[in-house]
Amino acid sequence: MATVTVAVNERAFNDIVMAAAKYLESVPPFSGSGSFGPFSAGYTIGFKLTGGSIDLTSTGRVHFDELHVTYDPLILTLGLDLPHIQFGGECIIPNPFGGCILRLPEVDLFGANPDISIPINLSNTIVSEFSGEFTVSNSKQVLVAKGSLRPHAAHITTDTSNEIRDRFRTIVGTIPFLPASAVNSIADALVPFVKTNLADKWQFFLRDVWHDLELISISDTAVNILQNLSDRFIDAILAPVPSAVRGIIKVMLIPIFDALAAVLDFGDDALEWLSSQLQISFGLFDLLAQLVINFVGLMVPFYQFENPYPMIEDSSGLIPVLVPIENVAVVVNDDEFVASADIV
Amino acid sequence: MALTDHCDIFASVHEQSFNNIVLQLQAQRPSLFNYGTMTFASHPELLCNQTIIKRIDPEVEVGVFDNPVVSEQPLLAIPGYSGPFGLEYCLQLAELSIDFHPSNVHTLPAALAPPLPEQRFSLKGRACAGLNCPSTDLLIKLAPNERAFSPVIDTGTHRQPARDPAGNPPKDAPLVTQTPTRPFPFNREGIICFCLDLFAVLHLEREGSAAAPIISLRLDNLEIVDIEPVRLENAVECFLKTILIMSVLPKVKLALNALILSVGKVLTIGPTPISAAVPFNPAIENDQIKVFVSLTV
Amino acid sequence: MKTVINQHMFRHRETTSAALNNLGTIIHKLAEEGVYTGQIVQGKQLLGTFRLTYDRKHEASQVNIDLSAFDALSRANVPGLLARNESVVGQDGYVVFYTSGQHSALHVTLTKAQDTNGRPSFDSRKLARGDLIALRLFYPGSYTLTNELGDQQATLTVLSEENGKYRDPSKLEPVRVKLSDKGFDPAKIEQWPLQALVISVDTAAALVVKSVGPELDKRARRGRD
Repeated sequence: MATVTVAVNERAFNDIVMAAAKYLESVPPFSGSGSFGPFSAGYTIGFKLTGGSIDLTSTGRVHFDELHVTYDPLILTLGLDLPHIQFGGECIIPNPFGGCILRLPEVDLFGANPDISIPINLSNTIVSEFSGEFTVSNSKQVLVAKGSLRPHAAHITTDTSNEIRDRFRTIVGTIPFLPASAVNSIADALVPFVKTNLADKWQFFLRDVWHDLELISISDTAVNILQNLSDRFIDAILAPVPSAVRGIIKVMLIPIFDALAAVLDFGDDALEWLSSQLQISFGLFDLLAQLVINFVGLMVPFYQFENPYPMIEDSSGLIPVLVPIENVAVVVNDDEFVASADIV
Repeated sequence: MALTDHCDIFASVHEQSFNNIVLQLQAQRPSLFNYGTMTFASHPELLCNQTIIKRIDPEVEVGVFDNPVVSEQPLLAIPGYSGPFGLEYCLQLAELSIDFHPSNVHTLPAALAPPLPEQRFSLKGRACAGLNCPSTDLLIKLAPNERAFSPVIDTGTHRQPARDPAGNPPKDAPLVTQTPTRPFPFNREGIICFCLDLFAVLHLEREGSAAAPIISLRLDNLEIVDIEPVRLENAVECFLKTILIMSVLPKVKLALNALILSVGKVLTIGPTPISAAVPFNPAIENDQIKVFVSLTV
Repeated sequence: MKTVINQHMFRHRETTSAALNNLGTIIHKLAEEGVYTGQIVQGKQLLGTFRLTYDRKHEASQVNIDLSAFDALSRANVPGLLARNESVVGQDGYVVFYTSGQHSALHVTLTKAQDTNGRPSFDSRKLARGDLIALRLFYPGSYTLTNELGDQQATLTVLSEENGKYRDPSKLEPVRVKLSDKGFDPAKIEQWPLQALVISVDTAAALVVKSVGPELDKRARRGRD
């Protein structure tokens, strides 16, 4: 019989999800940006959990059921590096032997470096849904670098080896299409979450059985914004032009507008567009999520503690009191999640 | 039946865990359990109870990190003696264990009316003490050479009280005037050891108002085994009981409201209220202490 | 949001050759080889000077001089804008004066260095035979085109959109007009916005383009006719 037992029921899990939802609302939004050829994109994104539940199953799994993620705020800033548009240059006096003797000067319609950016506010307009099942597993990490060190020495010795990093790199390196630099940076980014000292660790992992992230709704506002994205760009470009000459400037900008429309016109059904064009990105994201969840499931524990466990830390030169904990086990059943261990 | 049928989070700790932690403490922080004067501090092998000393692995952990095995204490002063000598002694808490209902770790003495009642737990402590007793010859040799007492017969003539020419204090001065700094030469054969076993039965009790409940520790009974004569035992037990009830246990009170944690201002974690389904919280049963916790978003 | 289109281009509706802005371009054909000193004046203020060498053997048949580039403020605001203080032109010696900025009331003179009398051989305020002026108007509407030195006049119509669309200016040939003592030929001119109108000057000229009202929509005009 285990000497320490902790059980958490399904309702507590759901309360924790609701608490996480409330907590998410207080988290400042994330921001970032990137460039893709002539396009640049910046974003400010925050998340709200607006629904969903967690079930514990009789098959020993944690089931995330239809967690609704609303993106708020969601502000995209799309930028475009415009090509130079010049007019003039007509030949006034042609050379009868070919070429031109006199031309009118060319004038650039734009300033020195034409680019434009427009903010698109899609806050509270897009909802996606996450469902999935995970098993909870635990294992003991024993580092080779620990060697014959006794527990107290291992506890106070910082892990300076590359053992965890190399292990992570090996696991991430199995993703077929990732370049070596990306493998290393992904693996290295995860190392600090796990690497501490040379003591043994009990680690708990959430292992993905299946999961699904899909776009489930997009409001009319967002549809309208997305459908008219190229118009918004065009309006932004033409904003400084007096209305009386807008028509002729539009004609000159037709090549740019055609290019914009080719990239940004999504047809009548923006949801379809998101499900096809951008959904490709979501699909990619989903694939990456699958990979990340899988590899994080193998590498980064959601919780870990030292073994032996430092029950009383170092004080005034005295060694910490380390209590060995063995027979750690986790069980999920219909009612609750139970973790147990023996203090030996 | 699920462990969390009547709460959100359930935690239990078996008595074995507590007792194993005590063993780990004895092995890794022995100075909490062993006290003694200079010779005992530098020679733990002279302590009365060697069981807990052998549990320490001085070559590996405590030794490597140069942690003390014994907390050094000052010499024991000799009442009425004002010289430099003091007695060497040691004191050990050789055993400390807990036994949650039902009783199966301790064999309770008859005075505690076994078996252990429900929702009770017993504590057993074994205290060992030792005194390094100098030989009588040595004591005589080192005893101070005081002036002979000269009785004064009152003949009715008033006189000033006799004065000690060496400036020694008068007889009504405090008994000890100098902190001892020198031990008597240590006599290994002169160590006199004895151990006392102490049992106490306790339970947790809820008090305070419904809005501000408090958990306190209540002493039900206490027994020191085998002190003779019986009246001495009773007196010592009475003294200890008085100390525990009047001084120690009132300080071991836990305001349950203090246990209510607010996580990120969104999740409140607190003890599950007492009800028919959860009559005791914490509960002491099945050799465990069980805690029932509820969450509120 | 970043504004990128050069808004100065739309500042002016009218122009004159004697007080040039971005709607007009003056082309002068140098008669003699040599070194010329140019002066660019805005209103009564000297904006800048330059040296121009005409050597028929030089390969370039024309030199373009952006008058705005002589304004230090413009140079500070427009990256890459450089004043051409030294220019060389060859072959038939065409010098093209234009302005890319917001400037107006500009005129330019060229004085041959060896000319002892110091009189300019060219003054854009008084165009002469052989000079060209190109107009490029943005705003649809009706205009008059007048030579202030000879009272010749023409009507100029900048057309509005046709069936909701404009012609692409890059695909339009310049409209050509001759100005002589007899007048403008043709005297009734139609052009699309931004389409170049090139006037060959055969007499002393100082051209003025004045707006006389918005151009009627072609469909409305046809209906009226």
